Amino acid sequence: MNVPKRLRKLALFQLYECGAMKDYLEEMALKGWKLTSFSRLFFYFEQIEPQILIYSVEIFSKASINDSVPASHTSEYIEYCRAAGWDFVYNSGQFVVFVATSENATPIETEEDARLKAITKAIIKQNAGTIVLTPIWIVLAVMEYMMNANLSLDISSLLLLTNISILEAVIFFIWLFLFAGTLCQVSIFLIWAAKQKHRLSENKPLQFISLKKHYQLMAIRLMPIVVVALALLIIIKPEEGGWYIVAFVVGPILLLAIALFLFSHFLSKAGLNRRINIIISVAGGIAIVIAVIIVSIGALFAAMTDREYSSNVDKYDTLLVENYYGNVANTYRIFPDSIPEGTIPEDFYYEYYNPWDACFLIYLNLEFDAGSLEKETARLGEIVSNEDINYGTTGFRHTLLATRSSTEGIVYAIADEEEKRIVYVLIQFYNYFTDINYTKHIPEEYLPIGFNALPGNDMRKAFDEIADMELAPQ
Amino acid sequence: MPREQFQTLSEPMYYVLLALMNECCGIDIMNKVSELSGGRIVVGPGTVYAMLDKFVKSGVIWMTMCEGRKKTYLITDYGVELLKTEFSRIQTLYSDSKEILEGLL
Repeated sequence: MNVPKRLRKLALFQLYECGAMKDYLEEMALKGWKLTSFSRLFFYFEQIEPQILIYSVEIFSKASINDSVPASHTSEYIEYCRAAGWDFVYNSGQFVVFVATSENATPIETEEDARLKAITKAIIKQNAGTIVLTPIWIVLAVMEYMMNANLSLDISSLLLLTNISILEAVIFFIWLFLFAGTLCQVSIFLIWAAKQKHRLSENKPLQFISLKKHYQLMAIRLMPIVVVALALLIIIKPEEGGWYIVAFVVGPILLLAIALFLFSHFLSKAGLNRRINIIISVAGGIAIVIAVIIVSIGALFAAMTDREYSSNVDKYDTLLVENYYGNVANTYRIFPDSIPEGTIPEDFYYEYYNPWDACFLIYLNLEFDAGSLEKETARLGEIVSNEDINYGTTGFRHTLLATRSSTEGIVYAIADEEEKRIVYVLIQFYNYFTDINYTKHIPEEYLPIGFNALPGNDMRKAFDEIADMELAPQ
Repeated sequence: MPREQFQTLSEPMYYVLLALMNECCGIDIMNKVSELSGGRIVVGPGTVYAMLDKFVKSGVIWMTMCEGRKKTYLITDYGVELLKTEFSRIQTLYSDSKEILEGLL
C-alpha cells in the first residue's frame, strides 16, 4: 500500500491573519498538499492529487492552547459546522480549521461583528500577561538597579553584583525580546482592527490581511528582535574576555526556546485533556526555570575561571604594567616597562590563568644591539635581588642578571652574551604549584636547572604531608 | 446587562428566535431560518452556536433536551416578549412608511 508522502513547513500566522492562512492552505492544496495538523510554528501536510479545496479558518475563543484534543465546547462547535457542510481538519490554540465538503457550504461566521470581537478577545487573552506585567517588571528592575547606588551602565560592574542580579539581567533580556515582539504584534493588530471597525460601520465585510502582506509583515515583526539583539551586542562589546557574557545571555534563551518547542510539540501529540496539559506545562515550566538557573550559575563559574593569554608583543606595555605590575615598585621590576629601544623581540608570551588561584607566566626574549645591551644589563644590576631560590633550582644555564623569588614563584633575567640576548621569565602562583605548564612556552635552556613548580612538585608534596599530619588523628 | 443587549434584534437574531417558537435542535436551526426567510437570511453554524449560547445565558431561550451533543432549544416567555416588541416596532415602521412609499414600490 502506498503511504502518502508527508511534508512539514514552517509558518507563523497571527490570530488576525485567518485570511492569509486560508489562502496559504488553499495554495498548498493546489500544489497537492492537504493539511493534516498544525502547531504554533509548523504545518503538517499529506500528499494528495492537486485540487481545489475551500478552507475556513476560524477563531474559537473557547478553545485553548492547552487543549491537545478538542474540548467539549469545541466539539459542539465542530458538530454545528459539520451540519453546515464543513469538515473539521484540526485545531491548535484558538485556530480551528475546516474544509468544505460541498461547493455551497454556508460560511461559518455570518456576523462580521462577532468575528472581529472573537479575534480581539483572543488577542487580549494571548497578550494580556506580557503587556501588563512587563512594564511593571521593567520599572521594578530599574528601581532596584538605581537603589543599589550604582548608576553607571557599565556591564562589567554588573558582574560585581551578586549571582541573583546577573540572573535577573538574563531573564530581563529574555523578556525584552518577548516584549519587543509582542508590542510589534499588538500594534499591527490594533491598526488592522481600527480599519475593520471602520469598514463594519460602513456595512462592509471584514478584509483580512492577504498572504502576500503576511510575508511582508513577517520581516517587520522580526525587526524589533534583531534591533534588541544588536543593541545587546553593542552594549556588551564582546572582546577577548567578553564572549562568555554573550554566551551567558544567548545560551539560556536558546535553551528556553528549544525546550518550549519540544514541549509543545510532544504535548500536542500526546492527546491528553486540558487539565493534565496545564499541570504538565506548569511543572515543565518550573523545571525549565530550574535548568536555566543551573546553566546560568554554571556559566558564571566558567566565567570566573578566567584565562587571558597573548603572544602579541604589541600588547606588552598594557599586559605588564597595567595587568601585572600595578603597584609594584620600580626597584623590583625586573621586566622592562616597555620594549627597550634598539631591541628585537624574538619571543613573547603572557598568560594569566585562574582556575582557583591566580597563576601568571610571562616570558620575554629580546635581542639587543651592543649599546642597549649594556644599558639594560646596568639597569638590572641595580635591582635588589634575593637569591632564595626554591623549587629544586640548582642554578641557571646562562648568566643571571637579576632575580627575585619566594614560595610563590620566581622572576629573573638571564643574559645569553653570545647571542646578545636577554631572557626575562616570571612564573608566579599560589599554594606551591602552578596550573600553567611553562615548559610548553619557555625553551628548557632558559629555565632554571632542576626547577619544578608543576602540580605534584616536591615542595607541594612536602606541604601536603604537613597538612595531612595536622589533620591525622593524634 | 442582558436586557439592553437585545433592544433591537438583528435580522438573523429575529429569525432564530422565530424558529425557536417551536422546539428545535440547534443544528436544524440553520435550515429553519433559511426556510422561514425564503432563503434570504443565511446564518452560519459558528454564528448560530455563539448566538444560542448568548440567548441561553440571557434567558431568551432554554435548553429542553440534551442527548450527548444533540441539544434542543425552545424560546422562553421573555424571548416571546422580545419578539413581540420587535414585531410591533416593524409594524409601526411599516404603517408609518406605507402611505409615503407605497406608490414607489
